[in-house]
Amino acid sequence: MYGYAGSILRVDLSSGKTWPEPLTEDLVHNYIGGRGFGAYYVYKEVPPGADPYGPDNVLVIASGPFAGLFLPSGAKTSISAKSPATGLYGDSNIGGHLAAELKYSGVDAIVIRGKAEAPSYLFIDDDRVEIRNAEHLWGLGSIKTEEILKEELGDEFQIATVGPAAETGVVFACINHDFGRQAGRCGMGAVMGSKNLKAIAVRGTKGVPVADIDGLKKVSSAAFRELLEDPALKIWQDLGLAQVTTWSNSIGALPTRNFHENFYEDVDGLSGEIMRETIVVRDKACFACPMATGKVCKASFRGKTVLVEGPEYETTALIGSNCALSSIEEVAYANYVCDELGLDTISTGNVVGFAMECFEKGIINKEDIDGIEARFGSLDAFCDLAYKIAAKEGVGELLAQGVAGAAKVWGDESDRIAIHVKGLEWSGYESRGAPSMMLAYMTCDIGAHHNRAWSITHDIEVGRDIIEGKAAKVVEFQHVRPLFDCIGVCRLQWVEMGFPLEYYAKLYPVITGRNDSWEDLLVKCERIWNLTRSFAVREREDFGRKDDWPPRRFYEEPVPDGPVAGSHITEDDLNVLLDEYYEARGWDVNGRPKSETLERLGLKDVAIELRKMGRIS
Amino acid sequence: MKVTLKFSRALRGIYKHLDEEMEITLEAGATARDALLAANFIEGTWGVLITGDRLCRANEELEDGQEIMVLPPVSGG
Repeated sequence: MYGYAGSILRVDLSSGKTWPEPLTEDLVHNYIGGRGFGAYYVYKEVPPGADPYGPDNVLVIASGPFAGLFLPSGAKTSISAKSPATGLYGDSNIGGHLAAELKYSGVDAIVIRGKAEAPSYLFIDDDRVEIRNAEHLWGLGSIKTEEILKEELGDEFQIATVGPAAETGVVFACINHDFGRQAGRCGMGAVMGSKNLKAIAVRGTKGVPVADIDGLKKVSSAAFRELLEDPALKIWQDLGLAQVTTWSNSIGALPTRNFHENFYEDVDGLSGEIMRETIVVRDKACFACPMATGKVCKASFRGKTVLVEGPEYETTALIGSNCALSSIEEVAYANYVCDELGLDTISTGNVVGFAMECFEKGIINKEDIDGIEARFGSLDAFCDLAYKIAAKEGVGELLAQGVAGAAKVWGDESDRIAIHVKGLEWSGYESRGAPSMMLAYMTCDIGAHHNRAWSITHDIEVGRDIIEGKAAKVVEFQHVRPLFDCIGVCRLQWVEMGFPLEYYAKLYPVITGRNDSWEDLLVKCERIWNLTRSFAVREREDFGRKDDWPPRRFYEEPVPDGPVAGSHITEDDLNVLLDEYYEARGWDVNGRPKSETLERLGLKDVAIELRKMGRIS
Repeated sequence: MKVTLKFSRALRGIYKHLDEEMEITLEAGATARDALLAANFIEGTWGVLITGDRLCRANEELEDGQEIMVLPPVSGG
């Protein structure tokens, strides 16, 4: 099958068995790869009501048809499972070199279920697959674990690891790879840790069949040439994603002090330029990427000097301005702490910012938080809380449940300022002044994440106070952006440099030999979107509109200052946004897919199942 | 004085009405922001500005004949 390695690697950690299954035409035709494969297996194989930490949950690690090939940045691996953060479908993707190596080993996706008796790691060396003992790695940090496995196995192996936070089951524990790349969101690391799986090590030496190798060379050569000649490339290479921070602040979207504000007065200390001038020691790229947005930085704190990849924008926003740290070196150090512990920086920045605001407002007192002086701007407090969360020690046990879990204990006033949707903490764009972006967060299938639809410029262009007519743009983005996660390619070249989508449309047939148009691929993405929504509807009898509702802060408090001071969104506005969105999607007024919508998308079996359960009509 | 705004391909991909470049006439002492507002940009609709091989701040005073490359806002992935 062109563009694919040709097999799914099955792993049952409970029995210790592994076996390959052939990749099927149905799976490729309907779900493309990456997140599409993840959605398929999670829906099909995780029974309703399954414990996300239990052996019935599956962890799906999947590349796509573009991954590992000669084209700009075919570097993406999607990791999917039932999320412990939301109890719903979750996924997160990771760059680096894992996707390419996985395909070279002959594997398009690994589907892992069960739970190993003892700490283990999965070893893949072409056709040799073993579940190996990892007791010597248990308890170690993510980066240290990768270092040790590289020493033991050799540099050719690409390795994904989890840290202590995954071992203790923190709901926002992440999976790490390449000493600084993370599948950060939805607690995919916690699922891996719950299976006693400390790491995955992969080496491959096989090729990937391509339908038209001359066509691939021709289109890709032109694509690389165009990227290399783009004057924006140097800026990306110099500043990486940290350059977003000052822009986000300038338009009033930078999360500040637990999303109380969206404009940070000390932003200059967090800018990409300052980062470049003060702490960057070298640039770093993922597989076949000319942008090289990764920045390896040096940071010191408490007498310790560390090297860390990052911080990029999201980390700078959530750990920096959201916790009111004022220097990029402080953010970089906190980034290192999170990476080594295996904590998602986005959720950790939210959780610590939330705790800081609760403490400063008197919602909790010092005894509630183990005597920590949890004030905004304190890197000491950030680090102390991060270590407690990873160990689930003292207040860390509560905060390890995320802001939604903590708010259940700290009460109604804290619930008002717990910034999440569906249990997943909000990523780096405060959206009271951007209704379509607010809707994108509300309806994102994994919870409050920006990667499915990023539409702030649409709000600015059309009018930031306009509500009506914006849902269609969000739906459009929710199909095209996740397509990159399905084909296994990074979308930065397109979203940041304006690299034409036409290149990807040209690459798809020369790689796969399939005659699907770009529009056909977008319909497959719509199918995947409806499948993940159906997972939620099947999972919870009462799932619906209320689960798409944003945090109360966003409709009860206007923005206090900055470029969009006074902006707010009302509950009526939110209902208008959702009504239009559900209509555009072919869902009912409660946000459940209609039977005819599922059937139009080739999901008749899903429609029958949900109808039998009485979940849809 | 006259300055030239050059619009990157990515920016033109978002704002379809833009040509590759636009010459703007400004009073002496005008800034890059003034140039963009004179070209009917709304605050927040542009991203990084480049002049020569360096960044140009929006509040930087421009010189006669200066060229500014305008990139779009960036999404952080």
